[in-house]
Amino acid sequence: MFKGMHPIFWIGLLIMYSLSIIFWIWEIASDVGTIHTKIFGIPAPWVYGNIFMLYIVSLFISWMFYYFPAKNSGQRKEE
Amino acid sequence: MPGDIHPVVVAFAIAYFIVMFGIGWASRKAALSPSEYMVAGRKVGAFVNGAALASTYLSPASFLGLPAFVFLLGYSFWWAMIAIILGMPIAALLTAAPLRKYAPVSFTDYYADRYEDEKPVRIITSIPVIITGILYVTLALIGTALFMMAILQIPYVWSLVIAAITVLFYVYLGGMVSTTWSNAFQGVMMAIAAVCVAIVVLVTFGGFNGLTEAIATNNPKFFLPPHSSKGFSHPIMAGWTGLVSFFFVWHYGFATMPYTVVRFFTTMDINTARRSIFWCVFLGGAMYWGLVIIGSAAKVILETMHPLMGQHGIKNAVELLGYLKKVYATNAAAVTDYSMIAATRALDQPWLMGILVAGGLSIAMSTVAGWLVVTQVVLGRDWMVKICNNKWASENPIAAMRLWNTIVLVICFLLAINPPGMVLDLSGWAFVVIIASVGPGLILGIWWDRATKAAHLSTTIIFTIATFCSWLYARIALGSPHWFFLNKAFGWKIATAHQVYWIPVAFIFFIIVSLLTKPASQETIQKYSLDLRRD
Repeated sequence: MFKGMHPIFWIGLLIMYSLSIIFWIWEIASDVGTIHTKIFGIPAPWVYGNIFMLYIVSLFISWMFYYFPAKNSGQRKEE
Repeated sequence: MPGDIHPVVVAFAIAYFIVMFGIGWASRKAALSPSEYMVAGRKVGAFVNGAALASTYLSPASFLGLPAFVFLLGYSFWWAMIAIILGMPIAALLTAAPLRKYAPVSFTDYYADRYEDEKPVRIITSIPVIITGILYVTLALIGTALFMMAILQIPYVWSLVIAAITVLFYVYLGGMVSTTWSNAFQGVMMAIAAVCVAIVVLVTFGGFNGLTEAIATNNPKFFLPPHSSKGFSHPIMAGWTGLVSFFFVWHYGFATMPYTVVRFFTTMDINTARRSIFWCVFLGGAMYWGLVIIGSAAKVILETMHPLMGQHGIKNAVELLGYLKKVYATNAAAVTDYSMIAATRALDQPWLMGILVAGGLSIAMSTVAGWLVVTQVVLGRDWMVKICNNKWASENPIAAMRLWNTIVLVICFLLAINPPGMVLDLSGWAFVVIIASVGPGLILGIWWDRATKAAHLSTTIIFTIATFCSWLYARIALGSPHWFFLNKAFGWKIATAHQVYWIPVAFIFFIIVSLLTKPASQETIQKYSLDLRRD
C-alpha cells in the first residue's frame, strides 16, 4: 500500500500532524488555554494557530509537495 | 435593516454581475468542442486552476457557516478551519498528480476503468455524487440568495432566481472554460473580501491584543480549551473528541470531493496540477485567516457596535440575529448564518459591504458552477451515453450536458425555496458521505494493487446509507448531528462531528473486503494503479 509514493509526502504529513498534536496537548494541558502566553507580543493562538499552522505550514507543505517531485522528475529526464 | 442600502454596495454588485455575464459570453466558443466544454481543453495554468480550486472547494458554508460555528463553539473550532487549509496539500501527491496523468473526463471514469466494470460501478459510484451535488448546488444557491437578500435587500426568492439565471448563463454557454475563468476571478475576490473585513476588524479593536481582550471580556469562555476546569465554550467542545473530530470532518475532502478532483483533469500537466494547489492554499489560506478573525469577533462586534442593539428589546447577539431572521422572513438559514453579514454591517463601511457582497456572491456561485459541471457530465455523459446507451446524447454530447445542468439547477432552485437544516450542517454531512463512500475506492484504487471491485461497490453502498442514517438519528434524537449516534445506548456523551468516525471505518472495511475478494487483472492494476504513481 502506497508503494511508489514520494517520501516527501510522509515528511509533510509528519510535520502537519505532529505540530497539530503538540499544540493540542499544550492547549488542553494549560487548563485556561494559551491565550495568556504571548509570542511576538500578541496572544499565542493568533500566532501559532491563525498564522503559523493555518497559513505558513500549509503553504510550506504545498510548496514541498510540488517542488521536490518536480525536481526529481526533472533529474530523471536529464539522466 | 431594509431601506439603508448604500450606492457603493450596489455598484460592487453590478460590477460583479457584469464580470460574470462577460466571462460567460466570452467563453461561448467552448461549446464547439466537447473536450473544451468538459475539461477546458486540459490547458489551464497553475494560478488560474489554483484560484478556481479555492473558490470551488470553499463553499458559502465557509462565509456563512464557519464564522457562525466559531461564534457558537468558540476557539476550539479554529482547528477545524486550520485543518481545511492544511488538508489541501495532501491532494497534490495523493490524487491530483495520478489523476492528471490518467486524464479522465468524468469523476466516475477512474472507477469504471480501475474496477473493470462499465455499468454497475458507474451507477453505484454516481449515486452519492449526484446526491451530494444536488445538496451542494442547493446549499450554494441558498448562500448566494442570503447574501443578496441581507446586503442588497432583494427578496429571498428573487435572489434565488437571479443567482440561478446568472450561473446557468455562464455554465450553459462555456461549460468548464467559463467555470474555470469565473471561478478563478471569484477565488481572488473572496480572499480579498475576507482579508479586508478582517483588517478592518483588527484596526477597529487596536490589533490582536485589543481584539483578544474584547472577545475575552464579552465571552470569558470563548478561549477555554477542552477539559478546562473553568468550563467550556460549548458542550460539544467540552472534551478532546469535539476538537479532534471537527479537525477531520473537512480535512480530507479536498483530495476526494468530485468538484475539486475534476479540476485536476483540466491542468496542462502533472506539475501544474501539483503547483495549482500551492496557489489554492495561498488564496484559501488568506481567506480563512480573515474568517477566523471575523468569526471570533462577531459576537463582540454585534453586541457593542450594531445599530439595532438595544432596540426592539434586543439584548444580545443571538437575539439580534433572531430579529434579523424574522425581518428577512426565510427559513433558509439558522440565525447564526447571518453573523458575518451583520458583523460587517456593524463596522459601518459601505465599501466593505460592497467587497463583502462581491466576495460572498463569488464563493457561493463558484460552488454552484463547480458542482454543475460535475453533475452535468455524470448525468449527461455517464448516465445517458455510458450507462443507457442513448443515441441522441452520444451524437449531441454538449446538448445532453446542457439539458442536465438546466434540470439540476431547476431541482435545486425548488429545493432552495424552503430547504431543511442549517447551511453548514448540510455541507458537513455531504463531506463525510463522499469521503467514506467513494473515497476509499479512489485513494486505495490508485495506491493499493489489492483494491477490488467488490470492496468499492460494498463500501459505497454501505457507507452512503450508514452515514446518512447515523447523522439523521443523531440530529433528530440527540439534538445535534455532532453527538455519537449510539450515545443513548451506552449512557455517555461523546462528540463526533458529523459522524466523522465513519471515514476510518470505511477504509478498514474496504481493506478487509479487498483482501477477501478477487483483485482486478494484472494488466488493469499496472495501467490504472502502478503506472499512475510515477510522473
